[in-house]
Amino acid sequence: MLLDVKKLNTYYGESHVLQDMSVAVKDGEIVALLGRNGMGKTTTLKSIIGLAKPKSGTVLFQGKDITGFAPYKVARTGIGYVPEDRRIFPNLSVLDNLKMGIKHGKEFQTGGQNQWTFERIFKHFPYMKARTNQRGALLSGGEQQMLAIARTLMGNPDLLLVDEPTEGLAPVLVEEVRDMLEEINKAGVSILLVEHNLKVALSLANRVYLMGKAHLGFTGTVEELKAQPEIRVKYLEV
Amino acid sequence: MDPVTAMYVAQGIHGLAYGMILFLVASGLTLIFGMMGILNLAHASFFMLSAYISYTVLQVTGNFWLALLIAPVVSAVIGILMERFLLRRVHASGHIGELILTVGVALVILESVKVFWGTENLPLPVPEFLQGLVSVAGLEYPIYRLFIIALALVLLAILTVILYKTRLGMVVRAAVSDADMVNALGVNVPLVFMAVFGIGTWMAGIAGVAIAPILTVFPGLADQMGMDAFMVVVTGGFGSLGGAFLVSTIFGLLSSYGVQFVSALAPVLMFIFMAIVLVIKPMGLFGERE
Amino acid sequence: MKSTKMIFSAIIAICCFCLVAVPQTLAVNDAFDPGKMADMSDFDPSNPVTPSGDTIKIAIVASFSGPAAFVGEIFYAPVLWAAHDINKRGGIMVDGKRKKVQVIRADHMSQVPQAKKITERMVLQEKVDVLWGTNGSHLMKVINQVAKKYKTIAQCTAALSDDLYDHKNFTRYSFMTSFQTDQIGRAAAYYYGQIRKKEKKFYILCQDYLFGHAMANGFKKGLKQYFPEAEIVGEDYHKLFLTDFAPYLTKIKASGAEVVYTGDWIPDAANLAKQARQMGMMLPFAHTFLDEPNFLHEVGIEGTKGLIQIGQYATTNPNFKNAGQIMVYRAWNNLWKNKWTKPFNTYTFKHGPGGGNIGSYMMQTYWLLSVIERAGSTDPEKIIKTWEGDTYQLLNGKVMTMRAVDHKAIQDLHAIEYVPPEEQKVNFNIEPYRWYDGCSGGGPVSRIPADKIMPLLDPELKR
Repeated sequence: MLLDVKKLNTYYGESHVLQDMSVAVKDGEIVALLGRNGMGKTTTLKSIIGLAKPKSGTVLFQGKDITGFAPYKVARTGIGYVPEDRRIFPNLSVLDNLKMGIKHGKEFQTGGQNQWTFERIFKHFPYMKARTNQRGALLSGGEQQMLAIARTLMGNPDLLLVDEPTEGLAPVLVEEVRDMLEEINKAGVSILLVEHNLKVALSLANRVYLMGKAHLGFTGTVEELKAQPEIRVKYLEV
Repeated sequence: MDPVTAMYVAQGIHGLAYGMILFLVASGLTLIFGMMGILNLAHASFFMLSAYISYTVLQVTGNFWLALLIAPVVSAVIGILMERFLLRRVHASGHIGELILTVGVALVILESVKVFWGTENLPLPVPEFLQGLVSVAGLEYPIYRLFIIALALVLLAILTVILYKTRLGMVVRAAVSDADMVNALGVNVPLVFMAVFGIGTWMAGIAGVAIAPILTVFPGLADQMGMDAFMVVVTGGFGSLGGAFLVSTIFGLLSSYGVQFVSALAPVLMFIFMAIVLVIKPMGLFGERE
Repeated sequence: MKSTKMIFSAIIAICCFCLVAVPQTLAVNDAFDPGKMADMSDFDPSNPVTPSGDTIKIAIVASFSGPAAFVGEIFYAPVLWAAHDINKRGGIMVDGKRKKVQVIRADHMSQVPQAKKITERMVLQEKVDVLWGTNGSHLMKVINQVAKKYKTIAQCTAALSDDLYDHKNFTRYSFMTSFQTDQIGRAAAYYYGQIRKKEKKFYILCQDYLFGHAMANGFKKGLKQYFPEAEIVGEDYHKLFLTDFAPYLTKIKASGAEVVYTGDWIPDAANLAKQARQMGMMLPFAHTFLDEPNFLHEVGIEGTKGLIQIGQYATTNPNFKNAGQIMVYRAWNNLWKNKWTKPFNTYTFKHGPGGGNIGSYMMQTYWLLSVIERAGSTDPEKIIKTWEGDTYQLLNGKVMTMRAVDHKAIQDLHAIEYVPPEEQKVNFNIEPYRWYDGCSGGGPVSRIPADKIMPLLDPELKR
């Protein structure tokens, strides 16, 4: 098990926004986390990456307990975070944004770790090569999304946490992003994906988790979900 | 140069000199706020503390350059300790808690200064090497003030190089924009915070030593400078070093030319300028965070 | 017939003799008598002897914290000296009891709201008999208001604004024993126009608030009256605690001024003069607060030469005229040299009763205690009755009169010219024949007679 999250309880002030939330990702998988707005999907990702501190529960990554670790420590274990709103650095150039993704330090110098080099990134994201000096703020929504993904790849993650990557994008770009995530997964990166676009989510994922209010409602393979339309109605449809 | 021109030029240099001092103090304040969201009301206290420490170093060693070297570093170390052991604890409680803590630290520094150095004004002479006037085209100008301008420009140049040509600088600029994201990318942001806090406080410390020979060193030093520096940060934009530099220079020139031409209005000019800027650009001239 | 003429002549002769030969002390109600001063060798302001039991309580309301914190200490030492002295003599007989004098520190932190709070606490909880203060006329105003409200005696010893005792602000419970802004300005003008008669072009640079403007106005008024040929070549008001005076100094330089008149107090006064000298501007300053020794030393002998100070506790040369004066001075100075510790062992406290503001505060306090003693009571009504119209002679011979109608003190003032140490013997006529080694000081002294600088009386004040 690459990522094993068990019974997370996270609070925003008094509000109990995650109740005994559990989710798991196997090596090589794409797992989709689905549910209506405000159910706690983003909070789940934040609790894993360390931007939210769970009060109880465990997060095991590659067998190691990383519960409550500071975000930079979580990232350094091999997890990448592509947040909602992309959050690229508007005042930095495209090249500098990519550089920010590189993890420095002794543990990252060992050979074989350096899978995602600039050449490889530019191969997957060709348009970036010509725009390396452009300020992040000047990129379009789709370009920013790609940059956000590329940036985390520069850190050679084994697992990517991706939050609503197709939000606000035109259908053509939605396809591009979908295809990119599939490509990355084929290259060996596991993905935990929060995505409201059901078509995209179901076309990428092996397994799905559906969230009800703050808690896990249903988990199973994509086929199992497709076989139970009433589950979809209960957790997904408005 | 005829006397009237000499007078105008002199006012211009006065403005630059004061503006540079202001910039040295405000630069740290704006970086710290931009990056950490902390409005450090104790910032000017470190400016003052450094002035006091330089007095002691001067008393003990008789060497102004040693004072310039040692005092800001001591001040910065105390600043880092404050960040590491006090601010960080309070950070989770939000901005109000941080604000109150920095006010508390400011008060502690104020009282400590009185305990260790007394309440009287401390004299600090201008270093011999920099005493006297230099004559340029008929204008006689104090060498020491020119030194202050030069010192500030050198520091600005070094800071700019670090900020735009080194990885640390890039990380700091990214963190000013989104510190959490930088953290999530694997950068030890708490360590970067400490470094920025240290450098910012150090710059304020340099300003403190630089201005001490011109002023008397007394416990009220922090108040006036703190107010002006805060206004620079708000007007220039939180987190913007360029904004701080531009606004500091403008404030300096406004105050000297203000005194020259509209003396009664001089103290208010800075406020007016700030108000105008904020009406047009509420986040400050180059601000990117509110 | 012949014997009548003889008797008549004798009477006239005796009358003349009385008028001429009898010492001036007959003209005053009381005087500070150095011969009566107790042995002060155990006096240490850092370790005050606080009397217990039923005492006469004096609250010093002043800045004991914040940027002006040193001011509180400058008040404290001389007031405590007077109290210590009186206590060692056995205290004062009031209302049938012998009571000692207790000095209490009340910190107004240089803030109006705090001033109100602390003054009311002094009156209501500490039940003090006198409110003594303060630095900052806006703060003295608060003290006077509290004095009026609770019918407590207040003594204005260090706030200088005239309007504190105008028809709007006057209260019969408060007495102004300090000199006043109007007087100081007019004294300076009288000195330049009627005594010195040299420089004619003046630049006025004062702090931009009530006090600064009052100081400037006094000077302008005085010039009109005593020096009409004078020219005011510039007039500016700067903000308090200004860091950079350079812009003003450049203006002054270009104006052709021969003298800069300023009412600034420390630190502004020190910064102003210091920066002026750093910029190569050697113009003399006419001032009253530039006598702060740390600043004087910083600027040095050359830079402080030629300063003209209007002082409230000085005398025509020589400064020490009799054994009593020398004895009191030595008592203080020796303790300063050998016994006292921080903050009282700095230059500021060196000369105490020898001259200057600390000496003035000490004498003003002795006057207060003298009034209480002669009133025989701490009852405010009795004190008022005794103090109105009272005359008192200070240690250095100066006579102060308390004008009954508006409670302002009538007194001579003196203009002191600063000269290098080796020229100070004419003024400092005892060992070591100089005030300080590292800076200029008094110097030739000129007297500005009291009748030339009568305190401003508000015509609308009816009593």
